[in-house]
Amino acid sequence: MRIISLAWRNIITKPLNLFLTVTLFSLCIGLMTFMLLFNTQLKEKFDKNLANIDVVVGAKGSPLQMILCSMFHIDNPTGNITIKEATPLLRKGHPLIEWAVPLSLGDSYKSYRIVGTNSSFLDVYDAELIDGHLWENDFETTIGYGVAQDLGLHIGDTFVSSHGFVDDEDLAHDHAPFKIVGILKPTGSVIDQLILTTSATIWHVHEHEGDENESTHADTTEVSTHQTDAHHEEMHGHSQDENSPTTLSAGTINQNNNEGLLLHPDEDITSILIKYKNKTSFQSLNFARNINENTSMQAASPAIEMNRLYSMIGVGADALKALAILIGLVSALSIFVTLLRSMKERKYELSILRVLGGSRLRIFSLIMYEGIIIAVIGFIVGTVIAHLGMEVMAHYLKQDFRYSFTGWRWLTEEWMILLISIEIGLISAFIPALQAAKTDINKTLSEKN
Amino acid sequence: MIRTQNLEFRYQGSDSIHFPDLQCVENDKLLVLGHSGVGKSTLLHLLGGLIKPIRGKIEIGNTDISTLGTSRLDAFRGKNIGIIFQQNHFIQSLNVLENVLIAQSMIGTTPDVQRAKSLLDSLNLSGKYKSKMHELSQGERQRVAIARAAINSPKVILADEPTSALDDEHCNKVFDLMDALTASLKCAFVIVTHDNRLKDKIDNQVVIK
Repeated sequence: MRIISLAWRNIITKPLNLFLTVTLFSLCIGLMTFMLLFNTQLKEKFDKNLANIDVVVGAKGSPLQMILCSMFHIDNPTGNITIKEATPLLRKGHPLIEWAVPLSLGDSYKSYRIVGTNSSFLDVYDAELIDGHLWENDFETTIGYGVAQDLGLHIGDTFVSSHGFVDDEDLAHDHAPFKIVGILKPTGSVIDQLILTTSATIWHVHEHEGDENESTHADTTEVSTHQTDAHHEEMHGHSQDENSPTTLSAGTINQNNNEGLLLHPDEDITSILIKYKNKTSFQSLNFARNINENTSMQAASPAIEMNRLYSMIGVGADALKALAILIGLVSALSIFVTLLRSMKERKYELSILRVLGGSRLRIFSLIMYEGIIIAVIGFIVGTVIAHLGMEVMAHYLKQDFRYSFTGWRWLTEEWMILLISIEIGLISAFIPALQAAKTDINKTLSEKN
Repeated sequence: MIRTQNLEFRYQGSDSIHFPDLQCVENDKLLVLGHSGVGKSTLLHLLGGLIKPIRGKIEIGNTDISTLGTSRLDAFRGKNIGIIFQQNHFIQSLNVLENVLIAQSMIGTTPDVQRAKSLLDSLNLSGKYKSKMHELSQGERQRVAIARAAINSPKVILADEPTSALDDEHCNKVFDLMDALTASLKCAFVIVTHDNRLKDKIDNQVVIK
């Protein structure tokens, strides 16, 4: 029997001790691993969705809200801007802008957001078609892979949108149904969770409703929450030439410009995603300030706003980290006490092992192994808890934000956590092991018990 | 075989104890007699290398174990000396068979399960391989201790009061077992006891006063 098997047998002989130490230890490891999994995936999602966008321009309001809304699609718009106002940014040939992609938001289907935009939006996220074609006419949609998967939608299916982000039949629009003409490949970015159509479609949806459902619209505004209020004002409060339905085909906008949109200066869009030609140039740095100071629009940098968000979340993360360290210390202490106590209980056994020819080093390594085994079991249990917890959390995140996280992802950093676990086991076991090795066998065996 | 010369030991803060020279060749038995408190157990611990004398020699085979360092002494003891204590301790997490085999693991040899089983069989423990130690009677525990002491075929087996707690019938049984074991292992068997019943059975005797 090897020393390590003896250590194992010793540990499982005392299941209650094992349970106590492993519970504490796995709590610490679980918390650490969970934070690692969550932070890593959150950061990846955010980074992927940053997608080379240097600045976002939209209606004045909270810049963070605008970023969350326009880039991560987890908040509501700050409001709308008229195309007239935005014309200088959308027109071809702006000296600072490499590309500008307009977004019209405000509707959703089963809480998957519908985005009115042009096909340049696909280029922003490096998205490609997996099936069908891009939206060309109003009420045609190309949907993200995640939407298709989660809702079981196929090309040719039709659906009716509802207002805002709320999946509520009372808020369902009464208009021509959307038709799915294409599905995108999975990208891992937010586009997987979006339904793409023309900007004009969004206008049609709302003007249509404005014409025919004045009264119900008013009701809706009252019952709807704060978030939908904003939309209503922004989306509905504009005049529209009812006799000539605007049709903006994706094809025309795709030609590297937004000329189609510019034909409708009185219409609204929600925001514009912009990439500079040279983001470190002096003019680029002044670009956002100019917009903020001289127009009724606001410009915000995703990098700055996300850093602000990280630092806000960071306080919570730090508190969790401190908690994990605290639990880690307590569990190290519990391993230490457990081993020390069981070592004292087993001093005759340990002396016998010496009598049978076991060296001090063997006795030392026996106790050290026991510490390591407890730590490794704690690590395994903690890791399983963390991954399960992440999977459960992913479920809720998906429900609330349509963001796909997963618990079944294994990070290389987890090996680091294994190393840390073993270290904690070694450190906690060191003193008991040393004491066990130093036991005076003659004295112990001469005692009458 | 085992032989001592001018053996002297002192516990801290007490007078030193002198032990008479003793010798026991292989395939022979030696009875060390003495009343309680004269240092019988101390002598056994000296012979077993659990403590070191302040003076004198303890030769087992050709090795003077009083000169060995701690880890070499541990290794030497494991290979060459089997000890049966008055009160035997076992690894509680292991079963009977494993408690015998652990003696082989401790000296780094491959456990010989067959040998351990036949030893246990010869000690009437054949049905108890998988038993937990706390399920055994006192007498059974002592026999497991005998098997454990014998498994590595030591040159010397030391026994501390192996019979004093037993009635006459069991005293004879245990003696016969040890006698047979000595013959089959061809080892030196040293019994330290105050049990006068063994006086007639072993010729080679030393008395400590």
